[in-house]
Amino acid sequence: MKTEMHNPASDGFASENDNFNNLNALVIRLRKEDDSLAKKMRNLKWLYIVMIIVYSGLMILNPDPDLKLHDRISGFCYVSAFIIFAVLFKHKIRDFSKVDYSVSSLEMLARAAHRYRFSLSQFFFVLPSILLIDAGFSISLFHRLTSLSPLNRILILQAFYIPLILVSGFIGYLIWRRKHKPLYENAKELLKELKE
Amino acid sequence: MDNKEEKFRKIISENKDRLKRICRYFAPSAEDQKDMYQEILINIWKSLESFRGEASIGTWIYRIAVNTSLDFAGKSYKQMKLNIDIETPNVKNLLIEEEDNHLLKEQQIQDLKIHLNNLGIIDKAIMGLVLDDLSTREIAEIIGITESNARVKIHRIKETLKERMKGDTYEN
Repeated sequence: MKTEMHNPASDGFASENDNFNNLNALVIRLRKEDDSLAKKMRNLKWLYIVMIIVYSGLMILNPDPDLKLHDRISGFCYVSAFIIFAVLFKHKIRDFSKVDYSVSSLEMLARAAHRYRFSLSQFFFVLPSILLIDAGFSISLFHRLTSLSPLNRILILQAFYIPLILVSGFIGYLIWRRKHKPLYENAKELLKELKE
Repeated sequence: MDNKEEKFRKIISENKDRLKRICRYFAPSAEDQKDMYQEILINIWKSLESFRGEASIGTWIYRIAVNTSLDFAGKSYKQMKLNIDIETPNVKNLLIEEEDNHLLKEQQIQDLKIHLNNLGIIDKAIMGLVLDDLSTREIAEIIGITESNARVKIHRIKETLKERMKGDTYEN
């Protein structure tokens, strides 16, 4: 049986000259990615600000006399839910884009397991937004479905909204199971091996 | 050229050989070694701002390289493979006895390679650092365990390897 000998010419690494060119190309690519990420974050921040201003103007501050108090309250609920979502989204993006590889392996794996976990505590962070949207949706439609009794109006709205949220939650779970669960399990398995 | 770029280029040029060596240990094919090298460079760039000189630059580089290899292995978990050959520094420390006969030595290294690759991912990562002649303290800092824990782990892995190698010797 013959042992594989290391042959520098046959490995995956380029010559000194190619290395220099490759490094230059890589630095340019990394710079572009840094700029693109900063630009995306900036654009996203402005999108939130513009949306919040536009929605607040149209649905809360709009002087139109046809806009009733319940419409304004409903608008306030939507805008508040939007602000909470924006803050949570920003946190998530920061969590996923700033992965630090220079910490110890134990810490990196613990952070990865935390990042990719599926926990009910995450649901509690989103709950205020879900309830605010529900409130906004219910308040605005409650005054339109006047042919029904108040109790029926509330029940019909909830019969529509709650399954919608449950289906969305289930789709979110399926996405997690396919994309993040293997990473989570892998990180946990390596952590276990490390602590043995 | 700005400060970040300058720092990046300096780190890469000073640690190029070390990085390539780590990639040779952990990536199964030439193509994977190249991909892993690129991946490590990207992660060094991303982590540059976090380097505050608390750890030595060597430990910092190794942390990124080992963490990239663990992450790299995460994507294609089973593919992580420790590659050693007769020229790997310190490989003789893991052989049960120093063979003068070149063919027997090659056979031992081949057996060692098989047993090393039957170890768990973390144990393989630790052995990669042992083969690169890092001290127990440095290995502990990179992996994130105590020095005594690292010492116990390394001892246990070496013992396991020796037992398995001895088993091979008796079989032959």
